[in-house]
Amino acid sequence: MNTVAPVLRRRSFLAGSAAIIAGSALPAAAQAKTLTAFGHRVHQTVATTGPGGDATSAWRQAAGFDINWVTLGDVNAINERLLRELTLPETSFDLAFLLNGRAVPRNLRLFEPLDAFQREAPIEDFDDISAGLVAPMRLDGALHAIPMRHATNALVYNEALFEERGIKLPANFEEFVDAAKKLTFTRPDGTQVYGLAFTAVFASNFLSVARAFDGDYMTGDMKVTCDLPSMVKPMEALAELFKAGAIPRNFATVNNEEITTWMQQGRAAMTINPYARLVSYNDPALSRYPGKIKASVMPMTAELAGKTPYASTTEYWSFAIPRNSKNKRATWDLIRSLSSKAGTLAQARNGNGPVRVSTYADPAFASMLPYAAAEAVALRTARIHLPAFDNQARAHDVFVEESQAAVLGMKPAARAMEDAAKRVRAML
Amino acid sequence: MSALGNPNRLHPMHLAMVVPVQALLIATIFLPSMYVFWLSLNESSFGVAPKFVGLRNYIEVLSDPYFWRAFVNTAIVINIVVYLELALGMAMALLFATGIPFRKTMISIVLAPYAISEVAAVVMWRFMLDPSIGMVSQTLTALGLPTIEWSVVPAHGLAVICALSVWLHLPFTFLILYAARLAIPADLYEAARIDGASPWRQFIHITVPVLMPAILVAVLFRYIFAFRMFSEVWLVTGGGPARSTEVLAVYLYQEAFRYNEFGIASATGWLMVAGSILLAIPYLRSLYKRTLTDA
Repeated sequence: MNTVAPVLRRRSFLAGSAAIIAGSALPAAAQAKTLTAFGHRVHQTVATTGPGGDATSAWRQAAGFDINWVTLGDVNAINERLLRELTLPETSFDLAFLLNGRAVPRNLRLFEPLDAFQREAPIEDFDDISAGLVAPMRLDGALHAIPMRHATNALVYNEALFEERGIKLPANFEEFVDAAKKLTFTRPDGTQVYGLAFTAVFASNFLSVARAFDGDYMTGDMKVTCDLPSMVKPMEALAELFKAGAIPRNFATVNNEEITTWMQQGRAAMTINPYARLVSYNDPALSRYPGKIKASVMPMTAELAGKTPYASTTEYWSFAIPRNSKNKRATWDLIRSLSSKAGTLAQARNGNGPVRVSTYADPAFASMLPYAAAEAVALRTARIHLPAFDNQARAHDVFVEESQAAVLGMKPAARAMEDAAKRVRAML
Repeated sequence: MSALGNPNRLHPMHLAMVVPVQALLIATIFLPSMYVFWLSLNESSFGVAPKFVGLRNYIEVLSDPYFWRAFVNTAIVINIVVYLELALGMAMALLFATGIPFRKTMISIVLAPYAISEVAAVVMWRFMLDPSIGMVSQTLTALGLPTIEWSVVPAHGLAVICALSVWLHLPFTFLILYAARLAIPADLYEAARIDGASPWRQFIHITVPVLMPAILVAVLFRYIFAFRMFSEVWLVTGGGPARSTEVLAVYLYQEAFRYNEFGIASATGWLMVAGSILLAIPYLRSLYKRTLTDA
């Protein structure tokens, strides 16, 4: 028997293709009201997943929108992609997450001013959001972004190692230096324990030490102050610790993942990192010291203790609306919802660093995080590490480069800070 | 005679047949290169319209001491990497050509680093070279030798980058030289032996001259690849400490993707192209002459 193979005719092929295209367009039509959020994976996680529940669900149901999350895992890649989108005539990104270090005038101009939205449909109790975080988001008086997540640095220490070495917690900076040296030792099995370990690629880490002297690389009004004794002395102290072996030899290249491992294994006694990292440092599944790793602010020098409060360094993300977005009003409503007291609390319970002072007072939140009270205190006086200006990234790297040179002994600390001051002043 | 007439004459159809590939090259290489060249003559960043500045970006780059430091580091690293790879690749090719036990297995082992992602390789090397728990550091300490201070001493950092790069890319040079060595007729060596030539004279008068085109190809490609070396440096030292181990590709990356200075980055890119061409010219000339001589 002859069988005839089915033949695909041109007309039936075209008709089939058209049907497939039409079919695939149907779900798109059904979900026409979609808003796209672009940021880090963690932004999606804290907004939608965890004990706090989905903080976006109320808004989604009320507004009839879906959120399409586009996320990346690298901060530089996020900023690069975001800025590329912002310079296009039109973008599909509606809600953007902006890091404070990138909120420089040149970039802020690419985002919609939010004052008109705030007048028309204000965010609940806006003054409750830390004023120190809101101010840098203003350009020529206009508000361009709403702070949503902060990471405030702390002095993280392993209480068990302090007890093991018979050292009391330092009351001032001089005792801190002494403790770092005493906590540096080699165990009988050959394991080296370092007194202090932190990554040397962030200016905020060096500054966390310098704030014990009330030091700053630059002030908020753009004065370069890194050549003052308040910055030179802490660099000298760090250089002394490096020379004494209390800071690891691979200090200049060690990354945060390695620091986490060292803290979990007890190979570093103290570090400078955000409070939120305490969760992984104390993770019973990974840490040899669960519950023993704690945090406080860096103690001030004996001269300033009790006179000048310590100002922690803080970095934060903000919500912003691209100027070339098509759904500005809907995006503002989402921002309002996520920035409300309930929205902030829900995200905080999902692991976000809340920017509202009142969130820390919530008993459920405070009981969830043992460090909540300490972080609330630190947030009250926290300041960003550098003011926003167009050359900020370059200036940041100059400060890091000269600080590394000072700590590693490549230059005397005073000369390194003088060089940094000269180079950054030329950029202003 | 074919439908296209005399095959030795250029027919319009011949040109038409190469149009697609030429169009592809123009679209993916020539036009982007010209765009980058145009950018290099402009001050350009996100959020601001490009502003024509002539050769100012080139002057800025060439007067930046960090560019020259990166240039010197690049020159040091690529010369060490390329010639060390050549020496090791040659030695291994000759060893394998003489016949070794478990040849196939041994070739697989030699090629293995080429199959490993650079990121995984760097993580592995960083762990081995960790100053306190790394097995290399532990071994050196046990032998009473000083440890490698790759994150403190710039020369040590560059040495580690060279070693890692050689380890990763040696299979490329080895494969080219090994294939070329296998193609040398055994008669030549037999005749030389009958004439009483020592192994060294056989190497100098037979192996090296016959392998020279393959050596030039290997060196040329490795120079070009090594000149744009990025991931080994970025992942091992990040250009530190204090930017002392930065190479040109890292310098370019920082200008483009950290500082968003696309004019400066484009000028750096074109200077790298010019540097690559200058490096390649002697090798290309030599290769061209040899090819013509052999033709």
